[in-house]
Amino acid sequence: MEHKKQQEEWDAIKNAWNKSSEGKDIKITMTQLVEELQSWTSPFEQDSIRKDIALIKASTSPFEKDSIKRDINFIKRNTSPFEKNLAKSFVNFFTRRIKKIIANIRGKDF
Amino acid sequence: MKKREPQSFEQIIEANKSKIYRICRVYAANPIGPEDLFQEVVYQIWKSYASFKGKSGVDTWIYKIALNVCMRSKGQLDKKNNQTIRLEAIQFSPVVNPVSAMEEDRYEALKSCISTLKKMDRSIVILSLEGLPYKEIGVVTGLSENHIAVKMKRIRKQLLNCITSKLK
Repeated sequence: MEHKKQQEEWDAIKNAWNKSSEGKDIKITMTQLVEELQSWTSPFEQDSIRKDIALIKASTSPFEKDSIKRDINFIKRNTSPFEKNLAKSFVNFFTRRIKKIIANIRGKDF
Repeated sequence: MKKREPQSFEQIIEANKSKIYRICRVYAANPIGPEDLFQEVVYQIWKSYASFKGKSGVDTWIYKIALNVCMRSKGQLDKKNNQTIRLEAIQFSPVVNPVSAMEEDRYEALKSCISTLKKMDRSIVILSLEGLPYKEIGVVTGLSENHIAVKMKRIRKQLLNCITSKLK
């Protein structure tokens, strides 16, 4: 008996929930919506990225900035032309290999 | 088994607008109205539509986005100084006498009682009221089916007590 009463109350709640979207008529002009969303995406995202950069800048302490600068200078000073060339040729070699692999994958018909 | 045709963005929005609005309405709290949340949800669906691969059902995907947007709305939209997205293509107009005063009172009591629940319990009960099976609720919330069943038993009792005392 108690269970039946609870079930009825729950059904009434479910009914109220389902009807909660009936108070407003939602009209969406789809073509206009897609155009608006397309135009919104870039400025909105740019704004978001700008905010993130500002946050990173603000949360990097002068000590960290100083430390990064020192590291870069140290690397620049202590790298010989031979090492620079070697690093460059390694990067070129791997870039060529990766490009080749991607081209092979794209060429395959799955 | 017959494979379901993929739906376009427009079809998805049209088919799910009522359920999105229901979720937005229950989470809306001044100064962010359900209409603001609705537009934000549509915008997020648009953003993630390209990466939606259909691994989960459209329903599950929509509920996940709607709940995420609505749950974080308090903190994030406040930070944006209420600069929510404004889409002119979406128009809301009131319907005259859609529900009885008694039903409206019951809904307000329900909304108020849901707001007292913990974050996770709130999502579970909303999805349950939407008629989602426990298995699907589990996919959205990341909990097991059994866990949902146990939680729902307790939440349902809690809600019924709360609503009954509010409607007295």
